[in-house]
Amino acid sequence: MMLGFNLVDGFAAALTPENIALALLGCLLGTLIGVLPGIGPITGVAILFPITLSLGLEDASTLILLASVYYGSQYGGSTTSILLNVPGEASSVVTTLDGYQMARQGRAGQALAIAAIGSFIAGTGSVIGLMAFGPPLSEVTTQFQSPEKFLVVVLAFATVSSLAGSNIFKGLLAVVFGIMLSTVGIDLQTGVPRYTFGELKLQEGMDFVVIAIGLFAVSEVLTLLEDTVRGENVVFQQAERIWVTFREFLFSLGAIVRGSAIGFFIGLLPGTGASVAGFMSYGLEKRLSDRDATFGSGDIRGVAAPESANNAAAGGSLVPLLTLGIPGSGTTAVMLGILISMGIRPGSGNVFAETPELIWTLIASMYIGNLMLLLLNFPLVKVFVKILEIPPWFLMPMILVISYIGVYSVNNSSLDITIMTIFGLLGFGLRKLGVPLAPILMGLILGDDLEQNFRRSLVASQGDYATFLDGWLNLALIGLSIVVLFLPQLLSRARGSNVKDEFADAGAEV
Amino acid sequence: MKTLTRLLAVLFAVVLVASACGDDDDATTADEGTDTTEATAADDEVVEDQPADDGGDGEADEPMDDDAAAGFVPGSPECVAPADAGGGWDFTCRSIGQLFEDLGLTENVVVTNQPGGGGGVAFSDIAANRNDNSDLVIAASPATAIRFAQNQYEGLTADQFRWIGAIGADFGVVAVTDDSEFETFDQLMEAVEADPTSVVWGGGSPVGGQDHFKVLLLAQELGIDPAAVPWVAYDGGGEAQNALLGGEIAVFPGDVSETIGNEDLRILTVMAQERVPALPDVPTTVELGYTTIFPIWRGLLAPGEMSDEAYAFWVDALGQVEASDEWVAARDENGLSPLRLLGDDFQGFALDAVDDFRTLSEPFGIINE
Repeated sequence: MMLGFNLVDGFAAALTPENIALALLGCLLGTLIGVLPGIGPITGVAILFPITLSLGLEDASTLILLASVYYGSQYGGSTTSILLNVPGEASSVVTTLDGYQMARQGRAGQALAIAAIGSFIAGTGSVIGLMAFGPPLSEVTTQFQSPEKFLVVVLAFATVSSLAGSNIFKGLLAVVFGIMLSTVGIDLQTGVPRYTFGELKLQEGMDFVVIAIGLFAVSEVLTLLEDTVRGENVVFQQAERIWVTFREFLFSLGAIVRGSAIGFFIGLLPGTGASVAGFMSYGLEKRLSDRDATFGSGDIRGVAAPESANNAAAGGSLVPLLTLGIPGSGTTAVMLGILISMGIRPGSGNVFAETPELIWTLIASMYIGNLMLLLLNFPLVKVFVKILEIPPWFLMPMILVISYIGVYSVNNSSLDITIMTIFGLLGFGLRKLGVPLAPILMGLILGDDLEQNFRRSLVASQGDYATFLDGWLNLALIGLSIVVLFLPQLLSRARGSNVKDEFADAGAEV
Repeated sequence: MKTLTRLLAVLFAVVLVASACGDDDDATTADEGTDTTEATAADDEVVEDQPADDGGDGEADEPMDDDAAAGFVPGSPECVAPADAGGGWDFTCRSIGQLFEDLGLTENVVVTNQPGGGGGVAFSDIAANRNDNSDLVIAASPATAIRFAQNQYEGLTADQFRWIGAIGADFGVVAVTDDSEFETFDQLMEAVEADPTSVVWGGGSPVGGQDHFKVLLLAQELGIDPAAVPWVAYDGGGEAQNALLGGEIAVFPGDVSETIGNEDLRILTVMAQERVPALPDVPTTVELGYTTIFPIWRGLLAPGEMSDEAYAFWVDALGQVEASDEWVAARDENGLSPLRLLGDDFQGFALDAVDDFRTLSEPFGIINE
């Protein structure tokens, strides 16, 4: 009861006209930052933080502004995934699969709307989750050590093996290629650079944004060019409606709720976070609900699930941050810096009890940012959908130019431009060969977690492989992975319908 | 409504393009632009009293060095943080840069983030293109010295740069959980000495990185093989603390600033000469009879061909910042301890540190050839 009361206080502190205006400004600014290729939520918040300090705002106002920027830019990233097939950040890669198809069918408005609604519901759910379980859940966080994290990544791979597409062989090829890409850079366990060819820039590994824009956007333009040359005129169907109907909402509700739950719990694990949550919820949703095999060709639930999971993961990652002082993701690391500068040291005892004002103001701020984003979307979706009225032969090259400028301006590195172009050509070739592109990004994003946690486990156990079977949590994760792999078969047997068995085969080897 | 929508669309497009260009400006174009104009102005002034230049190639900044003979003042001061915004080097540039300005020592200091290669991208760019820039300082820490020692900066060596000074230091700590079997640092050292493989250590850096060097130095002092001590590398100190609390590792050699106030940890020792203000009750390694200390100093260095006048100016300016009340406040807020090492003292200290780090790195095969 005590906690609930404090949240009300938090809202009282947060809800002043000035703060509401700041939330609006933050969301707008964040959305604009988010749609720029190369600049994600972390960079957005990190850049704006010193500026907000110099404005001399009160602590609560600063928190609201930054939380709004964070939500706005995360949403901005999803916007480009849906409209342009350009994932702005790791957590919105899977959104491209159904989101972009919806946009091509003239349903961009619904995709954007369900992303906003799903995010809002997930945000609400994670605030409730924080309130109800925040302090006790911190116990769970320390249970997840390297062997458990390794098994979580294995579970993620098992869940999303359905992403592999119709040809399992090509799908696996793509995943393995992605994992190979993730090995580029300085190896954490030994300090030795791998596959850097003497390039300093490559020591920090392959930049996700550069690869994503190359594989998706550049190859999209090349495909479009080819179609145009052949005389096929590609046009997006015009939007009929720009908001979802109640029926569509109800249809997606299950995906939203499941996505929120998965996201929140994955968010609790430091270092795993939003990208895994997005993949997992999509994979699971496809497993559970894709009876007519509509996922991947514009199913609204394929947008609702990962977008809800992203957002809930952001809420979940606040638990280890506030209770243990452990930042689980880049964004929470920046947030930790902000809290410390305000005199709060998460991890030093119970911050919920000791500095309740700011903690609950923070949570209230995140919620207000979330709500503001939903409200802002009524007018913004219209604007975004208008972008698609621009003919593709003009729009896509424009996007390409902006992408190149954006990527270059982030690191001032011409190598990024070269890599992006190479991956554009590669993506074009792989499309022709029918190799799915999303699994490459999945391998790139999760490969590092897979490898490093595996090796950490073995160093810590001094080479004893039994560490992966030690404890009920590990056994449960292994069991869950097996169940997930064979779920489609089980479901199809139960229903008596014939869902393709290949989903099961796909995961068996990952 | 339709007009409004159109208007918003246009506004959106403008902001999109403007912000993309804006970034570009901040990083390069604007700075170089001002450099050139100001340098030309300075050039005119100095022609009378000192016509010959230093034998440089007549780059825009050259004349400014000459001007400095009559009291150097940087025309467009810039601090390069060789990493993304938000980290330690970024903090150094932003906090010290702000104080340069607030104390009236320089104009507004532009902070440039140039990430990549653990700082290598920035260092090789500066050495190749701006090596005689006297307006430019670069943030540094022991991580910089370690990378110089391991030849990770593309053939650049530490003595190709001018080390200005270090003000303020975090110190290494040795932390265990509060229910650990190790009650004192001596107990831990005895266990490690008896069997180096018996205790698993882990921290937020790879083998041969900053956290791991604390272990290497202690192992060296104990006279055991440093490579025998198991080391688990995590992605940052936060993950390492989580591993410590969960029992995956037994010891976390972190920093004072990242461990103070965490009630679940027991800090056995601070790797310093004297006790630090943030942890008044924790004995230091020197108190306990060891010689190993590990200050994580926050410092600045400069391009190799910065003029002597400019170097003297920056050393003096950094000294003034260190002595100011504002710095004391910023330092305390960030859990740093006092440290003042300037000019030649710092240059000598840093180059010695690089040598030590190199010797210790050799057995691990992580020194680039």
